Amino acid sequence: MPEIPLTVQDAAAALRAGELTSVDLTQAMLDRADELDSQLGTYLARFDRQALANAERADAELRDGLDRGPFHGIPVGVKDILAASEGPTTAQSLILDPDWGAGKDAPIVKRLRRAGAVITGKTSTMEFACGVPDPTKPFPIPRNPWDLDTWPGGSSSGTGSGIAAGLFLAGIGTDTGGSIRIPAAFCGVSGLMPTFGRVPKSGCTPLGYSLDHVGPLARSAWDCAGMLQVLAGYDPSDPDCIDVPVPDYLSGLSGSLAGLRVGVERAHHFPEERDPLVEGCFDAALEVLKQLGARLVDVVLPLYDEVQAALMPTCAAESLAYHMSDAQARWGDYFEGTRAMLARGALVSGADYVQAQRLRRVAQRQLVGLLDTVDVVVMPTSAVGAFRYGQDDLLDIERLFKLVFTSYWDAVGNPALVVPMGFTGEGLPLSLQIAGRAFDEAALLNVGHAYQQATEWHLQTPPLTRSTRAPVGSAAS
Amino acid sequence: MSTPEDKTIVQLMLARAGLPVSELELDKLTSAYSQQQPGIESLYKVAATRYEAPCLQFTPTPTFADWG
Repeated sequence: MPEIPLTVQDAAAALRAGELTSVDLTQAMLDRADELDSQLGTYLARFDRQALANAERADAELRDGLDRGPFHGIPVGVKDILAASEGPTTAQSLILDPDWGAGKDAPIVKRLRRAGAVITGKTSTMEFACGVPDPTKPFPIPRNPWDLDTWPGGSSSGTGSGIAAGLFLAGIGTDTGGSIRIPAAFCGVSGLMPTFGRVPKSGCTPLGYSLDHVGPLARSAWDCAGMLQVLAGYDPSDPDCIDVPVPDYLSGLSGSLAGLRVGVERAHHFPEERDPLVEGCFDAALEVLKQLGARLVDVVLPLYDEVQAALMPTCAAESLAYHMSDAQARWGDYFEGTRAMLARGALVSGADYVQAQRLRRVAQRQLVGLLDTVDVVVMPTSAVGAFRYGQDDLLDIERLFKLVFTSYWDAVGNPALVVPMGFTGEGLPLSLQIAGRAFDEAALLNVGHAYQQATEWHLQTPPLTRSTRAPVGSAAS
Repeated sequence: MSTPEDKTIVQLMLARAGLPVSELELDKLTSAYSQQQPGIESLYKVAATRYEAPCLQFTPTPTFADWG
Protein backbone atom coordinates (compact mmCIF):
# COMPACT_ATOMS: atom_id res chain seq x y z
CA MET A 1 0.00 0.00 0.00
CA PRO A 2 1.34 3.49 -0.81
CA GLU A 3 1.71 6.27 1.76
CA ILE A 4 -0.87 9.06 1.70
CA PRO A 5 0.19 11.21 -1.26
CA LEU A 6 1.31 14.73 -0.36
CA THR A 7 -0.21 16.48 -3.35
CA VAL A 8 -3.50 16.50 -5.21
CA GLN A 9 -1.52 15.87 -8.39
CA ASP A 10 -0.03 12.65 -7.01
CA ALA A 11 -3.28 11.51 -5.43
CA ALA A 12 -5.21 12.13 -8.66
CA ALA A 13 -2.67 10.06 -10.57
CA ALA A 14 -2.81 7.26 -7.99
CA LEU A 15 -6.62 7.20 -8.11
CA ARG A 16 -6.56 6.82 -11.88
CA ALA A 17 -3.80 4.22 -11.81
CA GLY A 18 -5.89 2.11 -9.44
CA GLU A 19 -3.23 2.35 -6.72
CA LEU A 20 -5.60 4.11 -4.37
CA THR A 21 -9.30 4.61 -3.82
CA SER A 22 -10.94 7.81 -2.67
CA VAL A 23 -12.50 5.90 0.23
CA ASP A 24 -9.10 4.67 1.44
CA LEU A 25 -7.55 8.10 0.99
CA THR A 26 -10.41 9.87 2.78
CA GLN A 27 -10.47 7.34 5.61
CA ALA A 28 -6.71 7.62 6.10
CA MET A 29 -6.96 11.40 6.34
CA LEU A 30 -9.89 11.21 8.76
CA ASP A 31 -7.87 8.78 10.86
CA ARG A 32 -5.00 11.22 10.91
CA ALA A 33 -7.42 13.94 12.00
CA ASP A 34 -8.56 11.65 14.85
CA GLU A 35 -4.97 11.47 15.99
CA LEU A 36 -3.82 15.07 15.50
CA ASP A 37 -6.72 17.46 15.52
CA SER A 38 -7.01 17.74 19.29
CA GLN A 39 -3.53 19.30 19.16
CA LEU A 40 -3.98 21.36 15.99
CA GLY A 41 -7.48 22.81 16.22
CA THR A 42 -7.87 22.41 12.47
CA TYR A 43 -11.54 21.47 12.29
CA LEU A 44 -14.62 23.23 13.63
CA ALA A 45 -16.87 20.53 12.16
CA ARG A 46 -16.20 17.19 10.48
CA PHE A 47 -18.43 15.56 7.90
CA ASP A 48 -17.03 12.02 8.10
CA ARG A 49 -20.19 10.20 7.06
CA GLN A 50 -20.96 12.45 4.10
CA ALA A 51 -17.29 12.56 3.09
CA LEU A 52 -17.02 8.77 2.97
CA ALA A 53 -20.28 8.52 1.03
CA ASN A 54 -19.00 11.10 -1.47
CA ALA A 55 -15.68 9.27 -1.69
CA GLU A 56 -17.53 6.05 -2.47
CA ARG A 57 -19.48 7.84 -5.20
CA ALA A 58 -16.25 9.27 -6.63
CA ASP A 59 -14.71 5.79 -6.74
CA ALA A 60 -17.78 4.43 -8.52
CA GLU A 61 -17.80 7.28 -11.03
CA LEU A 62 -14.12 6.89 -11.81
CA ARG A 63 -14.61 3.13 -12.21
CA ASP A 64 -17.46 3.84 -14.61
CA GLY A 65 -15.32 6.19 -16.67
CA LEU A 66 -16.79 9.47 -15.41
CA ASP A 67 -13.78 11.66 -14.65
CA ARG A 68 -14.60 15.07 -13.17
CA GLY A 69 -10.99 16.26 -13.19
CA PRO A 70 -8.08 16.31 -10.74
CA PHE A 71 -10.20 17.05 -7.65
CA HIS A 72 -12.46 14.05 -8.21
CA GLY A 73 -12.27 12.01 -5.00
CA ILE A 74 -9.83 14.41 -3.29
CA PRO A 75 -10.36 15.32 0.42
CA VAL A 76 -10.76 19.06 0.81
CA GLY A 77 -11.33 21.36 3.80
CA VAL A 78 -13.54 24.47 3.65
CA LYS A 79 -13.04 27.51 5.88
CA ASP A 80 -15.98 27.95 8.21
CA ILE A 81 -17.09 31.32 6.91
CA LEU A 82 -18.43 29.65 3.75
CA ALA A 83 -21.79 27.93 3.65
CA ALA A 84 -21.89 24.18 3.05
CA SER A 85 -25.11 22.20 3.22
CA GLU A 86 -23.76 19.53 5.61
CA GLY A 87 -23.99 21.78 8.65
CA PRO A 88 -24.21 25.27 10.08
CA THR A 89 -21.61 27.94 9.45
CA THR A 90 -20.24 29.50 12.64
CA ALA A 91 -17.63 31.98 11.35
CA GLN A 92 -15.97 30.83 14.61
CA SER A 93 -18.28 33.26 16.39
CA LEU A 94 -21.06 33.36 18.93
CA ILE A 95 -22.63 36.13 16.89
CA LEU A 96 -23.53 34.61 13.52
CA ASP A 97 -27.16 33.55 13.27
CA PRO A 98 -27.08 29.70 13.24
CA ASP A 99 -29.64 29.77 10.43
CA TRP A 100 -27.37 31.79 8.15
CA GLY A 101 -26.86 29.75 4.98
CA ALA A 102 -28.49 26.70 6.58
CA GLY A 103 -28.77 23.80 4.16
CA LYS A 104 -27.19 25.79 1.33
CA ASP A 105 -23.90 25.68 -0.53
CA ALA A 106 -21.89 28.79 -1.36
CA PRO A 107 -21.38 28.93 -5.15
CA ILE A 108 -17.76 27.83 -4.83
CA VAL A 109 -18.75 24.91 -2.60
CA LYS A 110 -21.20 23.86 -5.32
CA ARG A 111 -18.37 24.06 -7.83
CA LEU A 112 -16.16 21.88 -5.63
CA ARG A 113 -18.91 19.27 -5.41
CA ARG A 114 -19.43 19.33 -9.17
CA ALA A 115 -15.70 18.70 -9.53
CA GLY A 116 -16.10 15.61 -7.33
CA ALA A 117 -14.17 16.98 -4.34
CA VAL A 118 -14.77 15.22 -1.02
CA ILE A 119 -15.45 17.91 1.59
CA THR A 120 -14.22 16.52 4.89
CA GLY A 121 -15.32 19.40 7.11
CA LYS A 122 -15.23 23.06 8.05
CA THR A 123 -11.92 24.49 9.14
CA SER A 124 -11.06 26.94 11.89
CA THR A 125 -10.68 30.63 11.19
CA MET A 126 -10.38 33.81 13.18
CA GLU A 127 -13.79 35.20 14.17
CA PHE A 128 -15.40 36.41 10.91
CA ALA A 129 -11.89 36.09 9.41
CA CYS A 130 -10.39 38.81 11.58
CA GLY A 131 -8.88 39.28 14.99
CA VAL A 132 -6.88 36.59 16.75
CA PRO A 133 -7.58 33.45 18.80
CA ASP A 134 -9.39 34.17 22.05
CA PRO A 135 -9.05 31.53 24.78
CA THR A 136 -12.11 32.90 26.58
CA LYS A 137 -14.38 31.78 23.73
CA PRO A 138 -15.56 28.18 23.12
CA PHE A 139 -13.53 27.52 19.99
CA PRO A 140 -10.21 25.72 19.47
CA ILE A 141 -6.95 27.65 19.51
CA PRO A 142 -5.38 26.86 16.12
CA ARG A 143 -1.82 25.59 16.30
CA ASN A 144 0.93 25.28 13.73
CA PRO A 145 1.99 21.68 12.96
CA TRP A 146 5.61 22.85 12.59
CA ASP A 147 5.64 23.98 16.22
CA LEU A 148 2.56 23.71 18.40
CA ASP A 149 3.60 26.79 20.36
CA THR A 150 3.24 28.92 17.26
CA TRP A 151 0.30 30.40 15.37
CA PRO A 152 -0.52 28.76 12.03
CA GLY A 153 -1.38 32.19 10.67
CA GLY A 154 -4.80 33.49 9.94
CA SER A 155 -7.41 33.81 9.24
CA SER A 156 -7.57 30.61 7.17
CA SER A 157 -5.76 28.87 10.05
CA GLY A 158 -7.36 25.44 9.86
CA THR A 159 -7.05 25.18 6.10
CA GLY A 160 -3.32 25.92 6.34
CA SER A 161 -2.61 23.63 9.29
CA GLY A 162 -4.79 20.85 7.88
CA ILE A 163 -2.89 20.70 4.59
CA ALA A 164 0.50 20.88 6.31
CA ALA A 165 -0.49 18.07 8.70
CA GLY A 166 -2.11 15.95 5.99
CA LEU A 167 -5.69 16.06 7.27
CA PHE A 168 -6.81 16.90 3.71
CA LEU A 169 -4.92 17.65 0.52
CA ALA A 170 -6.26 21.09 -0.34
CA GLY A 171 -8.69 23.64 0.98
CA ILE A 172 -10.47 26.92 0.68
CA GLY A 173 -9.35 30.10 2.33
CA THR A 174 -10.27 33.76 2.12
CA ASP A 175 -7.94 36.73 2.00
CA THR A 176 -8.74 40.32 3.04
CA GLY A 177 -5.32 41.39 4.35
CA GLY A 178 -3.41 38.14 3.87
CA SER A 179 -5.63 35.40 5.26
CA ILE A 180 -4.83 32.85 2.56
CA ARG A 181 -1.17 33.72 2.21
CA ILE A 182 -0.20 34.14 5.88
CA PRO A 183 -1.32 30.63 6.95
CA ALA A 184 0.12 29.18 3.75
CA ALA A 185 3.45 30.86 4.52
CA PHE A 186 3.53 29.98 8.23
CA CYS A 187 2.46 26.36 7.60
CA GLY A 188 4.87 25.75 4.70
CA VAL A 189 2.32 25.22 1.93
CA SER A 190 1.23 27.15 -1.17
CA GLY A 191 -1.69 29.55 -1.40
CA LEU A 192 -3.17 31.76 -4.07
CA MET A 193 -5.15 34.94 -3.61
CA PRO A 194 -6.85 35.34 -7.00
CA THR A 195 -7.66 38.71 -8.54
CA PHE A 196 -10.55 40.50 -6.82
CA GLY A 197 -13.69 39.38 -8.65
CA ARG A 198 -12.16 36.22 -10.18
CA VAL A 199 -13.89 33.88 -7.71
CA PRO A 200 -17.43 34.58 -6.39
CA LYS A 201 -17.52 35.36 -2.68
CA SER A 202 -21.26 35.02 -2.18
CA GLY A 203 -22.17 32.49 0.47
CA CYS A 204 -19.21 33.73 2.49
CA THR A 205 -19.59 36.00 5.52
CA PRO A 206 -17.96 39.33 4.63
CA LEU A 207 -15.06 41.05 6.35
CA GLY A 208 -14.16 43.88 3.98
CA TYR A 209 -16.51 44.00 1.00
CA SER A 210 -13.99 45.63 -1.35
CA LEU A 211 -11.08 43.51 -0.11
CA ASP A 212 -12.38 39.95 0.30
CA HIS A 213 -10.96 37.25 -1.98
CA VAL A 214 -11.73 33.51 -1.96
CA GLY A 215 -8.99 31.14 -3.11
CA PRO A 216 -7.10 27.87 -2.76
CA LEU A 217 -4.44 26.56 -0.41
CA ALA A 218 -2.60 23.34 -1.23
CA ARG A 219 0.91 21.94 -1.13
CA SER A 220 1.90 22.92 -4.65
CA ALA A 221 1.28 25.58 -7.27
CA TRP A 222 0.00 22.78 -9.54
CA ASP A 223 -2.63 21.90 -6.96
CA CYS A 224 -3.59 25.57 -6.56
CA ALA A 225 -3.93 25.85 -10.34
CA GLY A 226 -6.21 22.82 -10.40
CA MET A 227 -8.37 24.21 -7.64
CA LEU A 228 -8.55 27.69 -9.17
CA GLN A 229 -9.85 26.00 -12.32
CA VAL A 230 -12.75 24.72 -10.24
CA LEU A 231 -13.41 27.94 -8.32
CA ALA A 232 -12.96 30.65 -10.95
CA GLY A 233 -15.67 32.16 -13.08
CA TYR A 234 -18.57 34.57 -13.00
CA ASP A 235 -21.53 34.15 -10.70
CA PRO A 236 -24.24 36.83 -10.68
CA SER A 237 -24.86 36.41 -6.95
CA ASP A 238 -21.65 38.32 -6.19
CA PRO A 239 -21.94 41.91 -7.42
CA ASP A 240 -18.13 42.19 -7.46
CA CYS A 241 -17.59 39.05 -9.55
CA ILE A 242 -16.33 39.87 -13.02
CA ASP A 243 -17.36 38.04 -16.19
CA VAL A 244 -14.00 37.41 -17.85
CA PRO A 245 -12.72 34.24 -19.55
CA VAL A 246 -11.08 31.61 -17.34
CA PRO A 247 -7.97 30.12 -18.97
CA ASP A 248 -6.87 26.50 -18.69
CA TYR A 249 -4.53 26.94 -15.75
CA LEU A 250 -3.04 23.45 -15.71
CA SER A 251 -2.12 23.44 -19.38
CA GLY A 252 -0.46 26.82 -18.81
CA LEU A 253 2.08 25.28 -16.43
CA SER A 254 4.95 25.01 -18.90
CA GLY A 255 7.62 25.09 -16.22
CA SER A 256 9.66 27.42 -18.43
CA LEU A 257 10.55 30.92 -17.32
CA ALA A 258 12.63 31.75 -20.39
CA GLY A 259 12.51 35.48 -21.01
CA LEU A 260 10.17 36.18 -18.11
CA ARG A 261 10.78 39.61 -16.57
CA VAL A 262 10.72 39.24 -12.80
CA GLY A 263 10.61 42.40 -10.70
CA VAL A 264 12.46 42.00 -7.40
CA GLU A 265 11.10 44.15 -4.54
CA ARG A 266 13.53 44.61 -1.67
CA ALA A 267 12.78 48.16 -0.60
CA HIS A 268 9.82 47.36 1.66
CA HIS A 269 10.51 43.75 2.57
CA PHE A 270 13.54 43.58 4.83
CA PRO A 271 12.69 45.41 8.06
CA GLU A 272 15.20 45.51 10.87
CA GLU A 273 13.17 42.99 12.89
CA ARG A 274 13.58 40.13 10.40
CA ASP A 275 14.65 36.54 10.65
CA PRO A 276 18.39 36.28 9.96
CA LEU A 277 17.82 33.64 7.29
CA VAL A 278 15.07 35.29 5.26
CA GLU A 279 17.34 37.30 3.00
CA GLY A 280 19.50 34.28 2.16
CA CYS A 281 16.44 32.15 1.40
CA PHE A 282 15.04 34.90 -0.82
CA ASP A 283 18.36 35.27 -2.68
CA ALA A 284 18.52 31.49 -3.16
CA ALA A 285 14.98 31.52 -4.57
CA LEU A 286 15.95 34.32 -6.97
CA GLU A 287 18.92 32.27 -8.12
CA VAL A 288 16.58 29.36 -8.91
CA LEU A 289 14.33 31.65 -10.95
CA LYS A 290 17.37 32.97 -12.80
CA GLN A 291 18.57 29.44 -13.55
CA LEU A 292 15.12 28.72 -14.97
CA GLY A 293 15.53 31.55 -17.48
CA ALA A 294 13.96 34.53 -15.71
CA ARG A 295 15.42 38.00 -16.11
CA LEU A 296 15.60 39.77 -12.74
CA VAL A 297 14.95 43.51 -12.52
CA ASP A 298 14.93 45.59 -9.32
CA VAL A 299 11.61 47.39 -8.80
CA VAL A 300 9.93 49.47 -6.13
CA LEU A 301 6.19 49.06 -5.53
CA PRO A 302 4.40 52.40 -5.89
CA LEU A 303 2.82 54.07 -2.85
CA TYR A 304 3.61 51.07 -0.66
CA ASP A 305 3.16 52.79 2.72
CA GLU A 306 0.07 54.69 1.61
CA VAL A 307 -1.61 51.56 0.26
CA GLN A 308 -0.95 49.83 3.57
CA ALA A 309 -2.40 52.87 5.34
CA ALA A 310 -5.51 52.73 3.14
CA LEU A 311 -6.27 49.10 3.92
CA MET A 312 -7.02 49.33 7.62
CA PRO A 313 -9.62 52.15 7.53
CA THR A 314 -11.24 50.49 4.53
CA CYS A 315 -11.50 47.09 6.18
CA ALA A 316 -12.48 48.47 9.58
CA ALA A 317 -15.24 50.71 8.21
CA GLU A 318 -16.64 48.01 5.91
CA SER A 319 -16.66 45.39 8.67
CA LEU A 320 -18.25 47.73 11.22
CA ALA A 321 -21.06 48.51 8.77
CA TYR A 322 -21.84 44.78 8.60
CA HIS A 323 -21.60 44.25 12.38
CA MET A 324 -22.89 47.55 13.81
CA SER A 325 -26.17 46.39 15.33
CA ASP A 326 -24.67 43.21 16.81
CA ALA A 327 -21.65 45.14 18.07
CA GLN A 328 -23.89 47.60 19.88
CA ALA A 329 -26.04 44.87 21.44
CA ARG A 330 -23.59 42.01 22.02
CA TRP A 331 -20.15 43.61 22.33
CA GLY A 332 -18.85 41.10 24.87
CA ASP A 333 -19.77 38.13 22.70
CA TYR A 334 -17.18 39.16 20.10
CA PHE A 335 -13.55 38.06 20.37
CA GLU A 336 -11.16 40.68 21.73
CA GLY A 337 -9.36 41.03 18.38
CA THR A 338 -12.62 41.40 16.48
CA ARG A 339 -13.76 44.12 18.87
CA ALA A 340 -10.49 45.97 18.26
CA MET A 341 -11.02 45.85 14.49
CA LEU A 342 -14.68 46.85 14.63
CA ALA A 343 -14.05 49.75 16.99
CA ARG A 344 -11.38 51.09 14.64
CA GLY A 345 -14.09 51.35 12.02
CA ALA A 346 -15.83 53.91 14.22
CA LEU A 347 -12.68 56.07 14.16
CA VAL A 348 -12.76 56.51 10.38
CA SER A 349 -14.65 59.44 8.87
CA GLY A 350 -16.65 59.10 5.66
CA ALA A 351 -14.19 61.39 3.89
CA ASP A 352 -11.25 59.27 5.10
CA TYR A 353 -12.94 56.18 3.72
CA VAL A 354 -13.47 57.77 0.31
CA GLN A 355 -9.93 59.15 0.26
CA ALA A 356 -8.62 55.63 0.91
CA GLN A 357 -10.53 54.49 -2.18
CA ARG A 358 -9.07 57.34 -4.25
CA LEU A 359 -5.59 56.38 -3.08
CA ARG A 360 -6.23 52.76 -4.04
CA ARG A 361 -7.12 53.86 -7.55
CA VAL A 362 -3.99 55.98 -7.89
CA ALA A 363 -1.92 53.02 -6.72
CA GLN A 364 -3.64 50.73 -9.22
CA ARG A 365 -2.85 53.19 -12.00
CA GLN A 366 0.83 53.34 -11.05
CA LEU A 367 1.02 49.59 -10.57
CA VAL A 368 -0.32 49.01 -14.09
CA GLY A 369 2.59 51.13 -15.28
CA LEU A 370 5.07 49.04 -13.28
CA LEU A 371 3.57 45.79 -14.56
CA ASP A 372 4.08 47.00 -18.12
CA THR A 373 7.81 46.76 -17.43
CA VAL A 374 7.86 43.38 -15.62
CA ASP A 375 5.66 40.28 -15.84
CA VAL A 376 5.59 39.46 -12.12
CA VAL A 377 6.98 40.89 -8.89
CA VAL A 378 8.59 38.72 -6.22
CA MET A 379 9.25 39.41 -2.54
CA PRO A 380 9.27 37.48 0.74
CA THR A 381 5.77 36.80 2.06
CA SER A 382 6.93 37.50 5.59
CA ALA A 383 10.14 38.70 7.21
CA VAL A 384 9.75 36.11 9.97
CA GLY A 385 8.47 32.60 10.64
CA ALA A 386 5.24 31.87 12.46
CA PHE A 387 4.47 34.11 15.43
CA ARG A 388 4.91 32.52 18.82
CA TYR A 389 2.00 32.33 21.27
CA GLY A 390 2.87 34.08 24.52
CA GLN A 391 5.72 36.08 22.96
CA ASP A 392 4.33 37.90 19.94
CA ASP A 393 1.35 40.21 20.48
CA LEU A 394 -1.02 39.02 17.78
CA LEU A 395 -3.31 41.97 18.52
CA ASP A 396 -0.61 44.43 17.37
CA ILE A 397 -1.84 44.80 13.80
CA GLU A 398 0.64 47.56 12.97
CA ARG A 399 3.55 45.25 13.84
CA LEU A 400 1.97 42.33 11.99
CA PHE A 401 1.84 44.28 8.74
CA LYS A 402 5.38 45.57 9.19
CA LEU A 403 6.58 41.96 9.22
CA VAL A 404 4.09 40.29 6.86
CA PHE A 405 3.81 41.66 3.33
CA THR A 406 0.42 40.59 2.10
CA SER A 407 -1.99 43.51 2.55
CA TYR A 408 -0.68 45.67 -0.33
CA TRP A 409 -2.02 43.12 -2.82
CA ASP A 410 -5.46 42.94 -1.21
CA ALA A 411 -5.80 46.70 -1.47
CA VAL A 412 -4.87 46.88 -5.16
CA GLY A 413 -6.78 43.68 -6.02
CA ASN A 414 -4.00 41.98 -8.00
CA PRO A 415 -3.38 38.25 -7.59
CA ALA A 416 -0.56 36.90 -5.41
CA LEU A 417 0.76 33.36 -4.97
CA VAL A 418 2.93 32.22 -2.07
CA VAL A 419 5.19 29.17 -2.08
CA PRO A 420 7.59 27.79 0.56
CA MET A 421 11.25 28.85 0.11
CA GLY A 422 13.11 27.53 3.17
CA PHE A 423 13.16 27.58 6.94
CA THR A 424 14.16 29.79 9.84
CA GLY A 425 16.84 28.60 12.22
CA GLU A 426 14.01 27.34 14.46
CA GLY A 427 12.67 25.16 11.66
CA LEU A 428 9.68 27.36 10.80
CA PRO A 429 8.74 27.78 7.13
CA LEU A 430 9.67 30.87 5.12
CA SER A 431 7.82 31.84 1.99
CA LEU A 432 8.21 33.53 -1.40
CA GLN A 433 5.42 35.75 -2.73
CA ILE A 434 4.82 36.16 -6.47
CA ALA A 435 2.35 38.85 -7.56
CA GLY A 436 1.28 40.04 -10.97
CA ARG A 437 -1.24 41.63 -13.28
CA ALA A 438 -4.97 41.52 -12.65
CA PHE A 439 -6.47 38.26 -13.96
CA ASP A 440 -3.04 36.89 -14.86
CA GLU A 441 -3.00 34.18 -12.19
CA ALA A 442 -1.65 31.85 -14.89
CA ALA A 443 1.69 33.68 -14.94
CA LEU A 444 2.09 33.42 -11.16
CA LEU A 445 1.13 29.76 -11.11
CA ASN A 446 3.66 29.00 -13.82
CA VAL A 447 6.42 30.74 -11.86
CA GLY A 448 5.44 28.85 -8.72
CA HIS A 449 5.24 25.55 -10.59
CA ALA A 450 8.61 26.05 -12.28
CA TYR A 451 10.17 26.93 -8.92
CA GLN A 452 8.67 23.82 -7.33
CA GLN A 453 9.93 21.63 -10.17
CA ALA A 454 13.42 22.77 -9.19
CA THR A 455 13.03 22.72 -5.39
CA GLU A 456 11.41 20.53 -2.72
CA TRP A 457 10.46 23.06 -0.04
CA HIS A 458 6.75 22.45 -0.72
CA LEU A 459 7.15 18.73 -0.04
CA GLN A 460 8.60 19.10 3.46
CA THR A 461 6.42 17.73 6.24
CA PRO A 462 6.29 18.78 9.91
CA PRO A 463 7.93 16.36 12.39
CA LEU A 464 4.57 16.02 14.18
CA THR A 465 3.08 14.19 11.20
CA ARG A 466 5.92 11.87 10.36
CA SER A 467 4.97 9.23 12.93
CA THR A 468 1.42 9.17 11.54
CA ARG A 469 2.26 8.54 7.90
CA ALA A 470 0.54 5.19 7.89
CA PRO A 471 0.07 3.52 4.51
CA VAL A 472 -3.23 4.29 2.86
CA GLY A 473 -5.65 1.42 3.29
CA SER A 474 -4.06 0.01 6.43
CA ALA A 475 -6.53 1.81 8.66
CA ALA A 476 -9.54 0.94 6.58
CA SER A 477 -8.67 -2.72 6.08
CA MET B 1 2.27 58.92 21.26
CA SER B 2 -1.37 59.66 22.00
CA THR B 3 -2.56 62.94 23.50
CA PRO B 4 -5.44 63.69 25.91
CA GLU B 5 -7.26 65.18 22.90
CA ASP B 6 -6.90 61.85 21.09
CA LYS B 7 -8.59 60.09 23.98
CA THR B 8 -11.45 62.59 23.97
CA ILE B 9 -11.96 62.21 20.22
CA VAL B 10 -11.88 58.42 20.41
CA GLN B 11 -14.29 58.39 23.34
CA LEU B 12 -16.74 60.61 21.45
CA MET B 13 -16.54 58.63 18.21
CA LEU B 14 -17.07 55.32 20.00
CA ALA B 15 -19.96 56.76 21.98
CA ARG B 16 -21.48 58.09 18.76
CA ALA B 17 -21.24 54.60 17.27
CA GLY B 18 -22.79 53.12 20.41
CA LEU B 19 -19.93 50.70 21.04
CA PRO B 20 -19.70 49.89 24.77
CA VAL B 21 -15.91 49.58 25.05
CA SER B 22 -14.19 49.03 28.39
CA GLU B 23 -11.71 51.52 29.83
CA LEU B 24 -8.84 49.21 28.83
CA GLU B 25 -10.17 48.98 25.28
CA LEU B 26 -10.52 52.75 25.17
CA ASP B 27 -6.86 53.14 26.08
CA LYS B 28 -5.77 50.63 23.43
CA LEU B 29 -7.98 52.25 20.80
CA THR B 30 -6.62 55.67 21.67
CA SER B 31 -3.16 54.32 21.04
CA ALA B 32 -4.32 52.66 17.79
CA TYR B 33 -5.97 55.92 16.71
CA SER B 34 -2.81 57.91 17.24
CA GLN B 35 -0.89 55.34 15.20
CA GLN B 36 -3.54 55.19 12.48
CA GLN B 37 -4.08 58.94 11.99
CA PRO B 38 -0.71 59.81 10.40
CA GLY B 39 -1.34 57.05 7.83
CA ILE B 40 -4.79 58.42 7.05
CA GLU B 41 -3.45 61.96 6.81
CA SER B 42 -0.77 60.72 4.41
CA LEU B 43 -3.53 59.66 1.99
CA TYR B 44 -4.50 63.31 1.49
CA LYS B 45 -0.89 64.28 0.78
CA VAL B 46 -0.58 62.15 -2.36
CA ALA B 47 -0.89 64.79 -5.06
CA ALA B 48 -2.10 62.31 -7.65
CA THR B 49 -5.33 61.77 -5.71
CA ARG B 50 -6.35 65.42 -6.32
CA TYR B 51 -8.48 64.66 -9.39
CA GLU B 52 -8.78 60.89 -9.00
CA ALA B 53 -12.14 59.17 -8.61
CA PRO B 54 -12.52 56.63 -5.79
CA CYS B 55 -12.79 52.87 -6.42
CA LEU B 56 -16.47 52.87 -5.52
CA GLN B 57 -19.03 51.33 -7.82
CA PHE B 58 -22.57 52.47 -8.33
CA THR B 59 -24.79 51.35 -11.15
CA PRO B 60 -28.38 52.40 -11.77
CA THR B 61 -29.02 49.03 -13.40
CA PRO B 62 -27.89 46.46 -10.87
CA THR B 63 -28.49 42.76 -11.25
CA PHE B 64 -29.79 40.79 -8.30
CA ALA B 65 -29.27 37.07 -7.87
CA ASP B 66 -29.44 34.96 -4.74
CA TRP B 67 -26.97 32.19 -3.97
CA GLY B 68 -27.58 28.74 -2.62
